[in-house]
Amino acid sequence: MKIQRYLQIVMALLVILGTWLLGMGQQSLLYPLAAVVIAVTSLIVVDFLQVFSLSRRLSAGLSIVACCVLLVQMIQNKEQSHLLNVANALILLEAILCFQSKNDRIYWELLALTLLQVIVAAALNLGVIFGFVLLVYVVVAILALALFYIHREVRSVQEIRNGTDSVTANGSDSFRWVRNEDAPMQVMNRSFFGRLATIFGVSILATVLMFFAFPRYSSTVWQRPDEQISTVGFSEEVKLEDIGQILESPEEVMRVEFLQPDGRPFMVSGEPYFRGAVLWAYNHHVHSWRQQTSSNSAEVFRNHRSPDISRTIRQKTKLFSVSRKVMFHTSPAYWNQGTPDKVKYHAEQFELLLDENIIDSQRDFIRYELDTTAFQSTGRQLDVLPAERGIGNSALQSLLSPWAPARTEDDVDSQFIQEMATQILAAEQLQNADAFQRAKALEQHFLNSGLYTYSLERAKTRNRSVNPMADFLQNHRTGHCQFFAGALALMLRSQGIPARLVVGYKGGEFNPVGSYYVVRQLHAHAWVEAYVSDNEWAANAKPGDLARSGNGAWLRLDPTPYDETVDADFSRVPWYTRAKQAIDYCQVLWDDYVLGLNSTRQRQAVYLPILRAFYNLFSREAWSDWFAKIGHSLMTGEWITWPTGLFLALFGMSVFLFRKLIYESAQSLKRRLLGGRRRKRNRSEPAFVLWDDLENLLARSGLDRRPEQTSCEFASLASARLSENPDTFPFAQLPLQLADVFNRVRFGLRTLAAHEATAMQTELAKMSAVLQKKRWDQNGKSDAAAETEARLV
Amino acid sequence: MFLRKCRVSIPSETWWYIGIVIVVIVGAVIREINLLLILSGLMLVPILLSRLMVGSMLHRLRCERRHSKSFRPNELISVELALVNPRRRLDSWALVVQDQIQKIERNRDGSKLLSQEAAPRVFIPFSRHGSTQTAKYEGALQQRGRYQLGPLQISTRAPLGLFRGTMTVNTLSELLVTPRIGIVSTQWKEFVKAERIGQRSNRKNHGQLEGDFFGLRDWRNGDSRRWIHWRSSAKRNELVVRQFEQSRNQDFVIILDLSVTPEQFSTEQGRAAVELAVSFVATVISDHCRRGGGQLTLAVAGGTDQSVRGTASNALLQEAMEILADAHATTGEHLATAIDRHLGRFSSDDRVIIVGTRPIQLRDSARLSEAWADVQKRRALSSAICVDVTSDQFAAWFSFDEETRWTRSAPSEPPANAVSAVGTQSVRSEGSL
Repeated sequence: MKIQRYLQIVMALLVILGTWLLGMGQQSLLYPLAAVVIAVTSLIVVDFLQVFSLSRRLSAGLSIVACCVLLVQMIQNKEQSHLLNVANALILLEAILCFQSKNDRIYWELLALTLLQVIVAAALNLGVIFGFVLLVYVVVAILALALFYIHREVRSVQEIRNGTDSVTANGSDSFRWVRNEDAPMQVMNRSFFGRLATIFGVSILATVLMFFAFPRYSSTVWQRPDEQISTVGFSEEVKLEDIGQILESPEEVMRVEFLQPDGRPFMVSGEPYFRGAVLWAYNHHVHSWRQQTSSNSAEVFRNHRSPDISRTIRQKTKLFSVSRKVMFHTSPAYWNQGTPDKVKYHAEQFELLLDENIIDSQRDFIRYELDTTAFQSTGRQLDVLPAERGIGNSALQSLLSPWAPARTEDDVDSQFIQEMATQILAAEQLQNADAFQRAKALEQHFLNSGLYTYSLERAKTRNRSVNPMADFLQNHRTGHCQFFAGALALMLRSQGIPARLVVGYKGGEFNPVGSYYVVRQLHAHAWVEAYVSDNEWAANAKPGDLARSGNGAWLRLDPTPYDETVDADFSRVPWYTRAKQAIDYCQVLWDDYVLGLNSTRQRQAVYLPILRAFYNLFSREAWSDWFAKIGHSLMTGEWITWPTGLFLALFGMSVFLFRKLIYESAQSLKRRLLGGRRRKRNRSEPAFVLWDDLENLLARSGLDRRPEQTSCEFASLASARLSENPDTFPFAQLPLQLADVFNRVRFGLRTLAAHEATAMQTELAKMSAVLQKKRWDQNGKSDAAAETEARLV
Repeated sequence: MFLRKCRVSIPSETWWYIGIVIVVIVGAVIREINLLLILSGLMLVPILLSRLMVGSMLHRLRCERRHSKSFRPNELISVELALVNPRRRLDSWALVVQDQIQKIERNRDGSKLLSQEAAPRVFIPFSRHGSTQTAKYEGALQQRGRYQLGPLQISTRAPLGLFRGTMTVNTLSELLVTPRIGIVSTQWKEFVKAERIGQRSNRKNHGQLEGDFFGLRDWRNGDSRRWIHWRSSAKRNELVVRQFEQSRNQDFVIILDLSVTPEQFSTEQGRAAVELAVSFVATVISDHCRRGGGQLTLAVAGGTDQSVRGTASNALLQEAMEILADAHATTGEHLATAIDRHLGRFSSDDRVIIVGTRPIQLRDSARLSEAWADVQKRRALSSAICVDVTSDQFAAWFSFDEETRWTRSAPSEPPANAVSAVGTQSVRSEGSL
C-alpha cells in the first residue's frame, strides 16, 4: 500500500526533524545523529521488512524505564535545566515508538512526541537556523497529517479489491467498497499539494502577522540570543568586544554620487573615505573611544563655502540610516544649495550632524548635497586635511591620553605599547624624525610587517586581564579595523603625536551605469588622523595638496591591511560568500526582531510605521511626495527594483480580488433582489410566464439556474432533484414538460393551448404549495428532528 | 429543500491538539518566549484553515445512486454512487460516502418501520470541480423484501484530518429483493398432471384469427384468403398471410395463504414456513412464466392482500415477484376472503392452487360457506390443489439447490399430510406447472 509507505517515510523524517530541532536547543550533535540512525533502522526493519518489532508490553516497560531515568536525572542534576531532561525523555520515548509495529495510535503518539520536542526546543535559545528547520518541520508535519488521515479514511472503508475477494453473505458486513488499486493515491494530486501549500503559506503569513501584532507588555527582551553577535557597521562608539564573531551586514547605508561642476560624473581613484564620527577621547578603563564635543560647539554650516571653486566636487548622497545624526561626507565639506538647513558643523573634527527634527521624523531616507575639495584632479582623495582651528590644551590632552598629562608608569600595557612603538621607530631609525614621518612609519608597520592579519573572527583565547590593544599587539595580532586603528592611535599618542580615531565608511560598490557608490554596513571602517604642524606638512607635501591654513593639518593613516572580503565589490563575491552573508544578516534580523522583540522594539518597528502610514493616507503632502517620487523614478529608471515589482504585484492582485469581490457581490445582490422576478420577458405569453414562475419557484427553494445552463439542462437537473424526495416526486416531470413547452413556443413559434396552460399552471401551483410547506418545515424544525423524521418516513 | 447544511464535528485527537496549542500560547505569554509564540501561530492557523476548508469542500456537492431495482436473495447487488461537484473552482478530496440500507417492514398494525440492515461506505479520493466521480459498493441481501437506500452521508476530513465535515443528502431509492427461487421436482409436475386426468379439456376454442399476432409469411396453398394481409401484399407485390399464436395452455389461479397462528407468527419456525411458501409460489410462477402461455393469477391472502393476473410472461413475473417480495404473514383468517374475492372473477375452468403454511381444509363449510354456496366457486374449489409447505410430502416437491440454500435458518421438517388435493374431477389440459 503506497500511501502507508509514504506515511512511514514522512513519519521517519518528522522524527529526525523533531530531534534535530531538539538537538539544536541542546547544542548537541549526538541526538540528531541518533535520531537518523533510529528512524532509518526502524523504517527498514520494522516498517519495510517487518522482521522485528517491540511488543506492546515490552514497549510499555521500556517507557516506564525511560520515565524513571528522567526522574533520576531531575533529582540528581539539579543544576541542569529540567527542560533538557524532558527533552532526553522525549527522545527515548520516540525511539521506543519507532520500533513498534505502526498503527493509528502509534502514529498519533509519534506526531504528538515530535510536536512536544519542537515545543521544548522552542523554549531554548536558538539561532536563525532553528527558524529554517522549523519551516521544514511545518511542511513535513502538514504532509504527515494529510497522509495519516488519508490512510485512516481508506482503512475505515471496507473494501473489495477489484473483485478478487468474494462477497459473502454475512448480513451488514457483506457490503464492501469496490476499490481501485490506486484510489488512495489519487488523492495525492497536484491540486491537493496546492491546497497543502496554501495552508503552509497562509500559516506562515498569518503567524508572522500575529507575531508582530500580538502586543508585548514587557520592555525586556523575551528571548535573548545565546551568543552576543555584532555586525560590521558604523558606530559612534568603538568598544572592543569580548569574544565571538562579527557578522557582515549587507544592509544598504547610502548611495553617493560625485559630480563635477558641469554636472558630469567625477571618477574617484581608489576607494573614497566617507567620514562619519571622530572619536576623540580614550577611556583607559572602559577601553572605548568617544567624542567629547558638546552640541554648543556646533556652528551654522550655511556660511561654510568652498574656497576653491575650480576643484570643488559635488557629493550627492541618499542616506537610508536616518536614525543616526551623522552626515557622511568626504572632508573637507562645504555647504551648497542642496544641503539641508540647520546642519551642525564641528570644525575641529570635520563632523557634520543632522538636525534633530529630521531624525525624529523617522523618514526612510534623506537626500543631501555637499561640496567637497577632498579630491585631486586625478581623482585621488587627499590624505592631509588642513586644520581649521588649532588644538587647544584640553583637546591636546585628550588626543594624547593616556600618556598626557601624567604618564601612568604603573600601567604595564601602556608601557608595552610605548616600547613597541619606540622599537619600531628605532628599527626604521626615525626616532628623531618629524611627526609626519614617524606616523607614516608606524602605519607601514601594520601594513607591511606581515605580522598582522585582518579578521572579523575575534580571538576566543584572549586574556581578559590584559588591555585589548596590548593583547592585540602582543598576542593574537588578528582583528578588524578598530583594533588596527586603535592600536595605531595609541602608538602615535605614546610617541607624543596627537591622534584621533575616525569612523565612517570606506569604498562601496561602484555602479558604473549610474556612476554612484552603494555603501553598505559591511563597508564600515575606522582609521586614524594624526595631527602635524604646518612645517612638518610642508616638509612632506605633495603636489595637489590643499593650501595650508596655518593651524596645522590632520594626516589620515589607515593601518588596516587590505582584505578582499570587505573591500570586494558585493556583486562580485562568490555565491557561497553571499549566501553566508545573507544567513548572517538573517541572524541579525532574527535576533533583533524575533528573539529580541519586546514592547519597545515592537512600538518602534511595527506600531509607529503603521500609524505613520495610516496618517500619510490622509496627508496631502505625503501623496504629492509619493507621486513626485513615482514620477522621478519613472524618469530616471530607478523604478525597476524589487520593491516596485512587489508593489505592482500586490496592486494587481488587489485589483483582481477587488473586481472579483465587486462582481460576486453584485451577482449575489442581483439574486437576492431579483430572485422572485427575474427575466421579465413577454408576460403576455403563457409559456414564458410559466417558465419564469418555475425558475423563480425553484430559485426560492435553493436551486438557482446558472447562466450557462440551457432550459433543458436546468429542467433535467430540477427533475432529478425533485425525484429525490417522495413529496416532490410526483412533480419530477413538470420541469421537463415546461422546458419542452417553453422551447416549443420560443423557438418553434407555436402557441400554448389554453387548456394545456391551465393544467400546467395548476400543477405548478401544487408544486409551489409542496415546496413552500417543505421550506416551512425545514425552517421550523431542528436538524435532529428532521433527521429523525426522515428515518421514520 | 435543496440546501443541505454541513455539520462539522471535532475528533477527540483534535481536542488534544487544541489543548496543546492553548498550553503553548499560555506558556509563550507567561514565560515571554517569542519562539513559542511563533510555534503557537504555526499550530493554530492550520486548525482554523482546516475548519474553513472542511465546510467549503462539502458545499453544493450532490450525490446520486444508480442500481437495478430488484435482486434475488444472495445475488450480488452492485450500487454505483455518483458524486457531482458542480462548483466552478473548488475541488474536494478524500470523501467518504456512506449509504444506508434499511428494510421496510410492517408492524402488526400495518405501519411502516425501517430497520437498519447495512451501512456501506465508499471512498472517493478526488472530486474535481465541474465533474462527476463514481464509486461502487457491492454486497448481498438474504431476506426478501423491500429495502430503502439512503439517505446518503458525505463526509470528509480533508485537508489535514483535524475536523470531520458531514453532509446528509436526502437521496432515497428503493430496492426489491425477490423471494428465493428453488426447484420444483418432477414429482410435483407429475402430481399436477395426474390431478388433471379425467378433467374436461380446458383448451380454449379460439377462432382462426384469434390469438396473439405472431408475424407474416408468404402465402401457401391451402391458406385461407381471410389470412391475407392485403396492405403488405400490395407493398411486396405478392401474397402475404398473417400468422397467429393460439393459446392452448391451462390457466391457473394461485392463492398464497399467509394467514398464520400467533405461535407461528412469533417463532422462527413459523417464519421459515412462510418464507418457504413464498419461495414455492415464486418458483412455480417463475417456472410457468419462463415457459409462457396461459393466464396466471396470483393472489396473496395475508397482510397485503394483493393480486395480479395476466398472460404468463416476464412482465407478469416481475409484478408477481414484487407482490411476493412485499408479502408478509399476518395472524387471522384471510383465505376465505381471498377465495371470495378472486375465484368469482375468473373462469371456473381455471386451475386453483392454494399454498399455505398449515393444513387447508376446503371442506370446512362453516368457514367457506359463501364459496361453497356459489356454483362457479364450488367448481373451482372442488378441483383445487392445496399445498401445505409444512407437510412431509412437500419436501419431495420442492427444494433449494446448493447455491441458493438458506444460510441462516433451514426450514424445519414439514409435517405429514401437508398437501391435499380436494378435486377428483378429471381435467384434460395442456397446461402444466
